[in-house]
Amino acid sequence: MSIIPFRHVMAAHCESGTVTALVNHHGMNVSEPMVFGIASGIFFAYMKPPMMDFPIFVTRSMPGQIRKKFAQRTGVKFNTRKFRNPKEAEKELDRLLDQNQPVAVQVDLFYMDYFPSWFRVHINVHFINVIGREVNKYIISDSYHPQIAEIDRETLLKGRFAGGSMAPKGFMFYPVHIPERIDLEKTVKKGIKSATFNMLKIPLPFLGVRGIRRFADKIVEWPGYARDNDQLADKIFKIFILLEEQGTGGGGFRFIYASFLQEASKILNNPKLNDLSREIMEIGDGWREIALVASKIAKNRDFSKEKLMELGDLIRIRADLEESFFTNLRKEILNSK
Amino acid sequence: MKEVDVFVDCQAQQVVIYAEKSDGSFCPVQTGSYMIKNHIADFYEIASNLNNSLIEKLRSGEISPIYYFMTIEELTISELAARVGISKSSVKKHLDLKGFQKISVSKLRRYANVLNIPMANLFQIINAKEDKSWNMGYREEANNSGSGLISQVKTDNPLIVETKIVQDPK
Repeated sequence: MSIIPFRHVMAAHCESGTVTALVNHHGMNVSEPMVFGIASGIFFAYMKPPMMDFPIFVTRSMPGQIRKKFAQRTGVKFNTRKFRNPKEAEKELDRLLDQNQPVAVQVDLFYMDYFPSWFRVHINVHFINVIGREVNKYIISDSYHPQIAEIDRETLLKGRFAGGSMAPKGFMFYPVHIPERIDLEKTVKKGIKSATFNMLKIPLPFLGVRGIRRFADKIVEWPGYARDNDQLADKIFKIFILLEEQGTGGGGFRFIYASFLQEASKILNNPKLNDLSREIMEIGDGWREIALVASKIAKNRDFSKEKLMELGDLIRIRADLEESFFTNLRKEILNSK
Repeated sequence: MKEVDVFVDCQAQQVVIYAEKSDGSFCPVQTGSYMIKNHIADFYEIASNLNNSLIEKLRSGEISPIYYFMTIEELTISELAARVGISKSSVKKHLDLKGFQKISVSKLRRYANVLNIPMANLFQIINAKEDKSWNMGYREEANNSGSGLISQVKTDNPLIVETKIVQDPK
Protein backbone atom coordinates (compact mmCIF):
# COMPACT_ATOMS: atom_id res chain seq x y z
CA MET A 1 0.00 0.00 0.00
CA SER A 2 1.27 3.49 -0.79
CA ILE A 3 -0.44 6.67 0.39
CA ILE A 4 1.06 10.07 -0.23
CA PRO A 5 0.90 12.36 2.84
CA PHE A 6 -1.79 14.78 1.70
CA ARG A 7 -3.88 17.30 3.61
CA HIS A 8 -7.47 16.32 2.96
CA VAL A 9 -10.02 19.09 3.46
CA MET A 10 -13.61 19.36 2.33
CA ALA A 11 -14.18 22.21 -0.09
CA ALA A 12 -17.17 24.07 -1.46
CA HIS A 13 -16.58 23.04 -5.05
CA CYS A 14 -14.86 20.02 -6.59
CA GLU A 15 -12.74 21.77 -9.21
CA SER A 16 -11.57 24.72 -7.13
CA GLY A 17 -11.13 22.39 -4.14
CA THR A 18 -9.04 19.91 -6.13
CA VAL A 19 -6.84 22.62 -7.65
CA THR A 20 -6.40 24.34 -4.26
CA ALA A 21 -5.41 21.11 -2.50
CA LEU A 22 -2.95 20.18 -5.26
CA VAL A 23 -1.13 23.52 -5.46
CA ASN A 24 -1.01 23.79 -1.67
CA HIS A 25 0.48 20.30 -1.55
CA HIS A 26 3.23 21.70 -3.76
CA GLY A 27 4.01 24.58 -1.42
CA MET A 28 1.55 27.32 -2.30
CA ASN A 29 -0.61 28.84 0.37
CA VAL A 30 -3.82 29.79 -1.34
CA SER A 31 -7.45 29.58 -0.27
CA GLU A 32 -10.25 28.02 -2.31
CA PRO A 33 -12.02 31.41 -2.72
CA MET A 34 -8.79 32.90 -4.15
CA VAL A 35 -8.51 30.08 -6.69
CA PHE A 36 -12.17 30.52 -7.57
CA GLY A 37 -11.97 34.31 -7.80
CA ILE A 38 -8.69 34.54 -9.71
CA ALA A 39 -10.16 32.06 -12.20
CA SER A 40 -13.37 34.16 -12.55
CA GLY A 41 -15.44 31.16 -11.50
CA ILE A 42 -18.60 33.15 -10.80
CA PHE A 43 -21.13 33.10 -13.63
CA PHE A 44 -24.71 32.43 -14.61
CA ALA A 45 -26.26 30.65 -17.58
CA TYR A 46 -29.75 29.40 -18.32
CA MET A 47 -30.44 27.18 -21.31
CA LYS A 48 -32.47 24.35 -22.75
CA PRO A 49 -30.16 22.20 -24.86
CA PRO A 50 -32.14 20.19 -27.46
CA MET A 51 -30.81 16.85 -26.16
CA MET A 52 -32.09 17.50 -22.64
CA ASP A 53 -35.63 17.04 -21.37
CA PHE A 54 -35.47 20.01 -19.04
CA PRO A 55 -33.85 23.45 -18.99
CA ILE A 56 -30.67 23.78 -16.93
CA PHE A 57 -28.99 26.64 -15.14
CA VAL A 58 -25.44 26.98 -13.88
CA THR A 59 -23.93 29.50 -11.50
CA ARG A 60 -20.26 28.98 -12.33
CA SER A 61 -17.95 28.97 -15.33
CA MET A 62 -17.48 25.97 -17.63
CA PRO A 63 -15.91 22.86 -16.04
CA GLY A 64 -12.15 22.93 -16.54
CA GLN A 65 -12.00 26.72 -16.74
CA ILE A 66 -11.07 27.20 -13.08
CA ARG A 67 -7.86 25.20 -13.52
CA LYS A 68 -7.11 26.76 -16.90
CA LYS A 69 -7.69 30.39 -15.90
CA PHE A 70 -5.96 30.01 -12.54
CA ALA A 71 -2.91 28.60 -14.34
CA GLN A 72 -2.92 31.30 -17.03
CA ARG A 73 -3.16 34.13 -14.52
CA THR A 74 -0.76 32.88 -11.85
CA GLY A 75 1.86 31.16 -14.00
CA VAL A 76 1.28 27.81 -12.28
CA LYS A 77 1.88 25.07 -14.84
CA PHE A 78 -0.17 21.88 -14.85
CA ASN A 79 0.68 18.79 -16.80
CA THR A 80 -2.58 17.61 -18.39
CA ARG A 81 -3.33 14.42 -20.28
CA LYS A 82 -6.23 12.63 -21.89
CA PHE A 83 -6.14 8.99 -22.96
CA ARG A 84 -7.76 6.76 -25.52
CA ASN A 85 -6.70 3.57 -23.83
CA PRO A 86 -7.96 3.01 -20.25
CA LYS A 87 -5.11 0.66 -19.42
CA GLU A 88 -2.59 3.29 -20.44
CA ALA A 89 -4.40 5.86 -18.28
CA GLU A 90 -4.28 3.50 -15.32
CA LYS A 91 -0.61 2.77 -15.86
CA GLU A 92 0.27 6.45 -15.99
CA LEU A 93 -1.73 7.15 -12.83
CA ASP A 94 0.11 4.34 -11.03
CA ARG A 95 3.47 5.61 -12.26
CA LEU A 96 2.78 9.12 -10.94
CA LEU A 97 1.50 7.84 -7.60
CA ASP A 98 4.61 5.72 -7.22
CA GLN A 99 6.60 8.94 -7.65
CA ASN A 100 4.62 10.47 -4.76
CA GLN A 101 2.71 12.74 -7.11
CA PRO A 102 -0.97 13.24 -6.17
CA VAL A 103 -3.01 13.43 -9.35
CA ALA A 104 -6.35 15.06 -10.10
CA VAL A 105 -8.65 13.06 -12.35
CA GLN A 106 -11.98 13.84 -13.99
CA VAL A 107 -14.74 11.29 -13.35
CA ASP A 108 -18.45 10.62 -13.62
CA LEU A 109 -19.69 11.23 -10.06
CA PHE A 110 -22.19 8.36 -10.42
CA TYR A 111 -19.47 5.73 -10.05
CA MET A 112 -17.93 7.24 -6.92
CA ASP A 113 -19.46 4.61 -4.67
CA TYR A 114 -18.05 6.01 -1.41
CA PHE A 115 -20.99 8.45 -1.58
CA PRO A 116 -24.53 7.45 -0.57
CA SER A 117 -26.85 6.44 -3.42
CA TRP A 118 -28.97 9.62 -3.23
CA PHE A 119 -25.91 11.75 -3.94
CA ARG A 120 -24.73 9.93 -7.03
CA VAL A 121 -25.88 11.31 -10.37
CA HIS A 122 -24.41 10.95 -13.84
CA ILE A 123 -22.27 14.04 -14.18
CA ASN A 124 -19.04 13.71 -16.10
CA VAL A 125 -17.27 16.74 -14.68
CA HIS A 126 -16.46 15.76 -11.13
CA PHE A 127 -12.82 16.25 -10.08
CA ILE A 128 -11.02 14.28 -7.38
CA ASN A 129 -7.44 13.88 -6.20
CA VAL A 130 -5.97 10.39 -6.24
CA ILE A 131 -3.40 10.21 -3.44
CA GLY A 132 -2.41 6.57 -3.18
CA ARG A 133 -2.99 3.04 -4.28
CA GLU A 134 -3.23 -0.53 -3.08
CA VAL A 135 -3.34 -3.69 -5.18
CA ASN A 136 -6.98 -3.32 -6.19
CA LYS A 137 -7.88 0.08 -4.76
CA TYR A 138 -7.11 3.75 -5.05
CA ILE A 139 -7.06 6.22 -2.18
CA ILE A 140 -9.11 9.32 -2.92
CA SER A 141 -9.25 12.84 -1.54
CA ASP A 142 -12.65 14.09 -2.72
CA SER A 143 -13.63 17.66 -1.80
CA TYR A 144 -17.23 16.57 -1.17
CA HIS A 145 -16.34 13.72 1.19
CA PRO A 146 -15.52 14.35 4.84
CA GLN A 147 -12.80 11.71 4.98
CA ILE A 148 -10.23 10.19 2.68
CA ALA A 149 -12.02 7.46 0.71
CA GLU A 150 -11.21 4.28 -1.17
CA ILE A 151 -12.47 3.07 -4.52
CA ASP A 152 -11.98 -0.15 -6.48
CA ARG A 153 -9.50 0.06 -9.32
CA GLU A 154 -12.13 -1.10 -11.81
CA THR A 155 -14.78 1.37 -10.58
CA LEU A 156 -12.44 4.36 -10.81
CA LEU A 157 -11.51 3.35 -14.33
CA LYS A 158 -15.20 3.16 -15.21
CA GLY A 159 -15.70 6.67 -13.83
CA ARG A 160 -12.68 7.98 -15.73
CA PHE A 161 -13.91 6.50 -19.00
CA ALA A 162 -17.65 7.10 -18.81
CA GLY A 163 -18.88 8.21 -22.23
CA GLY A 164 -21.45 10.86 -23.10
CA SER A 165 -21.37 14.63 -22.94
CA MET A 166 -18.14 16.07 -21.57
CA ALA A 167 -16.72 12.55 -21.30
CA PRO A 168 -13.63 12.54 -19.06
CA LYS A 169 -11.51 10.43 -21.47
CA GLY A 170 -9.18 9.63 -18.61
CA PHE A 171 -8.31 13.31 -18.13
CA MET A 172 -5.74 13.92 -15.42
CA PHE A 173 -3.68 16.89 -14.24
CA TYR A 174 -1.05 17.77 -11.68
CA PRO A 175 1.16 20.83 -11.12
CA VAL A 176 4.69 20.75 -12.48
CA HIS A 177 5.71 24.34 -11.79
CA ILE A 178 4.75 26.80 -9.07
CA PRO A 179 6.24 30.28 -9.58
CA GLU A 180 8.34 31.57 -6.70
CA ARG A 181 6.54 34.89 -6.78
CA ILE A 182 3.07 35.63 -8.07
CA ASP A 183 1.89 39.17 -8.72
CA LEU A 184 -1.31 38.75 -6.73
CA GLU A 185 -2.53 42.30 -7.34
CA LYS A 186 -2.42 41.81 -11.08
CA THR A 187 -3.98 38.33 -11.03
CA VAL A 188 -6.78 39.38 -8.68
CA LYS A 189 -7.64 42.37 -10.87
CA LYS A 190 -7.64 40.22 -13.99
CA GLY A 191 -9.91 37.70 -12.32
CA ILE A 192 -12.40 40.36 -11.25
CA LYS A 193 -12.35 42.16 -14.58
CA SER A 194 -13.03 38.97 -16.47
CA ALA A 195 -15.84 37.92 -14.10
CA THR A 196 -17.61 41.26 -14.51
CA PHE A 197 -17.25 41.00 -18.28
CA ASN A 198 -18.78 37.53 -18.25
CA MET A 199 -21.70 38.64 -16.11
CA LEU A 200 -22.41 41.90 -17.96
CA LYS A 201 -20.96 42.06 -21.42
CA ILE A 202 -21.42 38.76 -23.25
CA PRO A 203 -24.09 39.64 -25.84
CA LEU A 204 -26.10 36.44 -25.53
CA PRO A 205 -29.52 36.40 -23.88
CA PHE A 206 -28.90 33.33 -21.75
CA LEU A 207 -25.55 34.24 -20.19
CA GLY A 208 -24.63 36.40 -17.21
CA VAL A 209 -27.22 38.80 -15.81
CA ARG A 210 -29.29 38.30 -18.99
CA GLY A 211 -29.32 34.59 -18.17
CA ILE A 212 -30.72 35.29 -14.69
CA ARG A 213 -33.52 37.34 -16.31
CA ARG A 214 -34.23 34.53 -18.74
CA PHE A 215 -34.44 32.09 -15.83
CA ALA A 216 -36.92 34.46 -14.13
CA ASP A 217 -39.05 34.64 -17.28
CA LYS A 218 -38.94 30.95 -18.15
CA ILE A 219 -39.57 29.30 -14.80
CA VAL A 220 -43.35 29.50 -15.38
CA GLU A 221 -42.87 27.24 -18.44
CA TRP A 222 -41.33 24.39 -16.45
CA PRO A 223 -44.60 22.45 -15.93
CA GLY A 224 -44.77 22.09 -19.74
CA TYR A 225 -41.54 20.05 -19.77
CA ALA A 226 -42.50 17.61 -17.00
CA ARG A 227 -43.98 14.15 -17.58
CA ASP A 228 -45.84 14.39 -14.24
CA ASN A 229 -45.96 16.33 -10.97
CA ASP A 230 -43.37 14.08 -9.37
CA GLN A 231 -40.80 14.91 -12.02
CA LEU A 232 -41.64 18.60 -11.75
CA ALA A 233 -41.24 18.43 -7.96
CA ASP A 234 -37.89 16.69 -8.42
CA LYS A 235 -36.65 19.36 -10.83
CA ILE A 236 -37.81 22.22 -8.61
CA PHE A 237 -36.20 20.59 -5.55
CA LYS A 238 -33.02 20.55 -7.61
CA ILE A 239 -33.07 24.35 -7.79
CA PHE A 240 -32.22 24.18 -4.09
CA ILE A 241 -29.50 21.59 -4.66
CA LEU A 242 -27.95 23.48 -7.57
CA LEU A 243 -27.92 26.76 -5.65
CA GLU A 244 -26.98 25.55 -2.21
CA GLU A 245 -25.53 22.10 -2.01
CA GLN A 246 -24.10 20.81 -5.26
CA GLY A 247 -20.67 22.19 -4.59
CA THR A 248 -21.46 25.91 -4.60
CA GLY A 249 -20.47 26.98 -1.09
CA GLY A 250 -24.03 28.32 -0.78
CA GLY A 251 -25.98 31.07 -2.52
CA GLY A 252 -25.01 29.79 -5.98
CA PHE A 253 -21.25 30.50 -5.45
CA ARG A 254 -22.06 34.06 -4.31
CA PHE A 255 -20.84 33.34 -0.74
CA ILE A 256 -17.48 31.99 -1.86
CA TYR A 257 -17.11 35.01 -4.16
CA ALA A 258 -17.79 37.29 -1.18
CA SER A 259 -14.96 35.55 0.65
CA PHE A 260 -12.70 36.09 -2.37
CA LEU A 261 -13.54 39.81 -2.51
CA GLN A 262 -12.79 40.12 1.19
CA GLU A 263 -9.30 38.71 0.56
CA ALA A 264 -8.95 40.82 -2.60
CA SER A 265 -9.76 43.95 -0.60
CA LYS A 266 -6.73 43.28 1.60
CA ILE A 267 -4.42 42.40 -1.29
CA LEU A 268 -5.38 45.51 -3.27
CA ASN A 269 -5.69 47.62 -0.13
CA ASN A 270 -9.11 48.72 -1.34
CA PRO A 271 -11.84 48.99 1.35
CA LYS A 272 -14.50 49.45 -1.35
CA LEU A 273 -14.02 45.80 -2.31
CA ASN A 274 -14.80 44.85 1.27
CA ASP A 275 -18.10 46.74 0.99
CA LEU A 276 -18.79 44.95 -2.28
CA SER A 277 -18.02 41.61 -0.65
CA ARG A 278 -20.77 42.34 1.90
CA GLU A 279 -23.10 43.27 -0.95
CA ILE A 280 -22.56 39.98 -2.83
CA MET A 281 -22.98 38.10 0.46
CA GLU A 282 -26.43 39.70 0.81
CA ILE A 283 -27.22 38.88 -2.82
CA GLY A 284 -26.28 35.28 -1.98
CA ASP A 285 -28.72 35.38 0.94
CA GLY A 286 -31.42 36.21 -1.61
CA TRP A 287 -30.41 33.21 -3.73
CA ARG A 288 -30.72 31.07 -0.62
CA GLU A 289 -34.22 32.44 -0.10
CA ILE A 290 -35.06 31.47 -3.70
CA ALA A 291 -33.74 27.96 -2.97
CA LEU A 292 -35.95 27.70 0.10
CA VAL A 293 -39.05 29.01 -1.73
CA ALA A 294 -38.40 26.49 -4.52
CA SER A 295 -38.13 23.64 -2.02
CA LYS A 296 -41.46 24.67 -0.46
CA ILE A 297 -43.15 24.77 -3.88
CA ALA A 298 -41.83 21.29 -4.60
CA LYS A 299 -42.76 19.95 -1.17
CA ASN A 300 -46.33 21.29 -1.39
CA ARG A 301 -46.67 20.37 -5.10
CA ASP A 302 -48.04 23.88 -5.63
CA PHE A 303 -47.14 24.48 -9.27
CA SER A 304 -49.72 27.19 -9.95
CA LYS A 305 -48.72 29.93 -12.37
CA GLU A 306 -48.95 32.49 -9.55
CA LYS A 307 -46.51 30.55 -7.37
CA LEU A 308 -43.99 30.10 -10.18
CA MET A 309 -44.34 33.77 -11.14
CA GLU A 310 -43.61 34.65 -7.54
CA LEU A 311 -40.44 32.57 -7.75
CA GLY A 312 -39.62 34.26 -11.06
CA ASP A 313 -40.03 37.69 -9.46
CA LEU A 314 -37.55 36.78 -6.72
CA ILE A 315 -35.07 35.65 -9.38
CA ARG A 316 -35.62 38.89 -11.33
CA ILE A 317 -34.71 40.91 -8.26
CA ARG A 318 -31.41 38.99 -8.08
CA ALA A 319 -30.77 39.94 -11.73
CA ASP A 320 -31.26 43.64 -10.97
CA LEU A 321 -29.07 43.49 -7.87
CA GLU A 322 -26.33 41.52 -9.64
CA GLU A 323 -26.36 43.95 -12.58
CA SER A 324 -25.79 46.83 -10.19
CA PHE A 325 -23.21 44.87 -8.15
CA PHE A 326 -21.09 43.74 -11.12
CA THR A 327 -21.30 47.21 -12.72
CA ASN A 328 -19.94 48.80 -9.54
CA LEU A 329 -17.30 46.09 -9.17
CA ARG A 330 -16.19 46.61 -12.78
CA LYS A 331 -15.94 50.38 -12.29
CA GLU A 332 -13.94 49.88 -9.11
CA ILE A 333 -11.42 47.62 -10.82
CA LEU A 334 -11.14 49.62 -14.05
CA ASN A 335 -10.63 52.84 -12.10
CA SER A 336 -8.04 51.38 -9.72
CA LYS A 337 -4.39 51.96 -10.53
CA MET B 1 -25.22 34.52 5.84
CA LYS B 2 -24.04 34.09 9.43
CA GLU B 3 -22.21 30.96 10.53
CA VAL B 4 -24.91 30.15 13.06
CA ASP B 5 -27.60 30.24 10.34
CA VAL B 6 -25.96 27.62 8.13
CA PHE B 7 -25.60 24.94 10.80
CA VAL B 8 -27.62 21.80 10.03
CA ASP B 9 -27.28 18.65 12.10
CA CYS B 10 -26.98 15.95 9.43
CA GLN B 11 -24.02 13.58 9.55
CA ALA B 12 -25.30 11.57 6.58
CA GLN B 13 -24.18 14.26 4.18
CA GLN B 14 -21.78 17.08 4.87
CA VAL B 15 -21.32 20.20 2.75
CA VAL B 16 -19.16 23.30 2.90
CA ILE B 17 -20.92 26.66 2.99
CA TYR B 18 -19.16 30.02 3.18
CA ALA B 19 -20.57 32.14 5.97
CA GLU B 20 -19.77 35.14 8.14
CA LYS B 21 -17.96 34.31 11.36
CA SER B 22 -18.28 36.37 14.53
CA ASP B 23 -15.11 38.32 13.62
CA GLY B 24 -16.72 39.44 10.33
CA SER B 25 -14.64 37.18 8.08
CA PHE B 26 -16.28 35.02 5.41
CA CYS B 27 -14.98 31.50 5.96
CA PRO B 28 -15.84 27.91 5.06
CA VAL B 29 -18.16 26.13 7.46
CA GLN B 30 -18.58 22.36 7.29
CA THR B 31 -22.18 21.54 8.05
CA GLY B 32 -24.93 19.04 7.31
CA SER B 33 -27.07 19.02 4.18
CA TYR B 34 -30.33 20.95 4.63
CA MET B 35 -31.89 19.02 1.77
CA ILE B 36 -31.07 15.59 3.18
CA LYS B 37 -32.08 16.63 6.69
CA ASN B 38 -35.43 18.08 5.63
CA HIS B 39 -36.45 16.56 2.33
CA ILE B 40 -34.92 13.10 1.96
CA ALA B 41 -38.37 11.57 2.54
CA ASP B 42 -39.76 13.64 -0.35
CA PHE B 43 -37.00 12.39 -2.64
CA TYR B 44 -37.66 8.80 -1.55
CA GLU B 45 -41.35 9.29 -2.24
CA ILE B 46 -40.67 10.69 -5.72
CA ALA B 47 -38.19 7.90 -6.47
CA SER B 48 -40.53 5.26 -5.09
CA ASN B 49 -43.53 6.51 -7.12
CA LEU B 50 -41.43 6.55 -10.27
CA ASN B 51 -39.99 3.12 -9.54
CA ASN B 52 -43.41 1.59 -8.87
CA SER B 53 -44.98 2.99 -12.02
CA LEU B 54 -42.02 1.83 -14.14
CA ILE B 55 -42.07 -1.64 -12.59
CA GLU B 56 -45.75 -1.97 -13.50
CA LYS B 57 -44.96 -0.99 -17.09
CA LEU B 58 -42.05 -3.41 -17.10
CA ARG B 59 -44.29 -6.23 -15.85
CA SER B 60 -46.88 -5.57 -18.53
CA GLY B 61 -44.26 -5.38 -21.27
CA GLU B 62 -45.02 -1.74 -22.03
CA ILE B 63 -41.37 -0.75 -21.61
CA SER B 64 -38.03 -2.54 -21.83
CA PRO B 65 -35.54 -2.89 -18.97
CA ILE B 66 -33.33 -0.37 -20.82
CA TYR B 67 -36.13 2.21 -20.55
CA TYR B 68 -36.51 1.38 -16.86
CA PHE B 69 -32.85 1.84 -15.93
CA MET B 70 -32.37 4.84 -18.22
CA THR B 71 -35.23 6.64 -16.48
CA ILE B 72 -34.21 5.63 -12.96
CA GLU B 73 -30.65 6.82 -13.58
CA GLU B 74 -31.94 10.09 -15.12
CA LEU B 75 -30.18 9.60 -18.44
CA THR B 76 -31.53 11.00 -21.69
CA ILE B 77 -31.65 8.95 -24.89
CA SER B 78 -28.78 10.90 -26.42
CA GLU B 79 -26.67 10.64 -23.26
CA LEU B 80 -27.24 6.89 -23.00
CA ALA B 81 -26.49 6.43 -26.71
CA ALA B 82 -23.22 8.34 -26.37
CA ARG B 83 -22.21 6.35 -23.31
CA VAL B 84 -23.00 2.95 -24.83
CA GLY B 85 -21.46 4.01 -28.14
CA ILE B 86 -24.49 3.43 -30.39
CA SER B 87 -26.87 5.70 -32.27
CA LYS B 88 -29.84 7.47 -30.68
CA SER B 89 -32.18 5.67 -33.07
CA SER B 90 -30.84 2.30 -31.85
CA VAL B 91 -31.45 3.27 -28.23
CA LYS B 92 -34.97 4.40 -29.12
CA LYS B 93 -35.63 0.95 -30.62
CA HIS B 94 -34.32 -0.76 -27.49
CA LEU B 95 -36.75 1.09 -25.24
CA ASP B 96 -39.66 -1.19 -26.13
CA LEU B 97 -39.89 -4.94 -25.78
CA LYS B 98 -39.81 -5.68 -29.51
CA GLY B 99 -36.52 -3.86 -30.01
CA PHE B 100 -35.05 -5.10 -26.74
CA GLN B 101 -35.41 -8.72 -27.87
CA LYS B 102 -33.18 -8.04 -30.85
CA ILE B 103 -30.20 -6.67 -28.88
CA SER B 104 -27.05 -8.78 -29.06
CA VAL B 105 -25.47 -10.09 -25.86
CA SER B 106 -22.38 -7.97 -26.42
CA LYS B 107 -24.50 -4.82 -26.71
CA LEU B 108 -26.46 -5.77 -23.59
CA ARG B 109 -23.16 -6.10 -21.79
CA ARG B 110 -22.26 -2.57 -22.85
CA TYR B 111 -25.61 -1.31 -21.57
CA ALA B 112 -25.14 -3.12 -18.25
CA ASN B 113 -21.65 -1.70 -17.90
CA VAL B 114 -22.86 1.88 -18.40
CA LEU B 115 -25.88 1.39 -16.13
CA ASN B 116 -23.59 -0.23 -13.55
CA ILE B 117 -25.79 -3.28 -13.04
CA PRO B 118 -25.23 -7.02 -13.52
CA MET B 119 -26.44 -8.05 -16.96
CA ALA B 120 -28.83 -10.51 -15.29
CA ASN B 121 -30.79 -7.54 -13.91
CA LEU B 122 -31.90 -6.69 -17.43
CA PHE B 123 -34.00 -9.86 -17.27
CA GLN B 124 -35.42 -9.82 -13.76
CA ILE B 125 -37.09 -7.70 -11.14
CA ILE B 126 -35.63 -8.21 -7.69
CA ASN B 127 -38.40 -7.26 -5.33
CA ALA B 128 -36.56 -7.21 -2.03
CA LYS B 129 -33.91 -5.29 -0.23
CA GLU B 130 -30.95 -5.11 -2.56
CA ASP B 131 -27.26 -4.74 -2.29
CA LYS B 132 -27.03 -1.05 -3.13
CA SER B 133 -23.57 -1.44 -4.59
CA TRP B 134 -25.20 -3.16 -7.54
CA ASN B 135 -28.18 -0.99 -8.15
CA MET B 136 -27.20 2.67 -8.22
CA GLY B 137 -30.68 3.85 -9.01
CA TYR B 138 -32.08 2.14 -5.96
CA ARG B 139 -33.11 4.44 -3.14
CA GLU B 140 -32.39 2.83 0.18
CA GLU B 141 -35.34 2.68 2.56
CA ALA B 142 -37.76 3.72 -0.17
CA ASN B 143 -39.32 0.33 -0.66
CA ASN B 144 -37.62 -2.09 1.64
CA SER B 145 -40.68 -4.13 2.43
CA GLY B 146 -39.03 -7.54 2.27
CA SER B 147 -36.97 -8.97 5.07
CA GLY B 148 -34.44 -10.79 2.89
CA LEU B 149 -31.26 -9.16 1.74
CA ILE B 150 -30.30 -9.93 -1.82
CA SER B 151 -26.62 -9.86 -2.53
CA GLN B 152 -25.25 -9.98 -6.05
CA VAL B 153 -21.61 -10.87 -6.36
CA LYS B 154 -19.54 -10.70 -9.52
CA THR B 155 -17.86 -13.85 -10.81
CA ASP B 156 -14.88 -14.26 -13.13
CA ASN B 157 -17.38 -14.88 -15.91
CA PRO B 158 -18.45 -11.40 -17.13
CA LEU B 159 -21.92 -12.66 -18.09
CA ILE B 160 -22.74 -14.36 -14.80
CA VAL B 161 -23.56 -12.85 -11.45
CA GLU B 162 -24.11 -14.90 -8.32
CA THR B 163 -27.32 -13.83 -6.61
CA LYS B 164 -27.89 -14.99 -3.07
CA ILE B 165 -30.15 -14.32 -0.15
CA VAL B 166 -28.28 -13.40 2.97
CA GLN B 167 -29.57 -12.76 6.43
CA ASP B 168 -30.66 -9.21 7.13
CA PRO B 169 -28.22 -7.91 9.78
CA LYS B 170 -31.05 -5.76 11.19
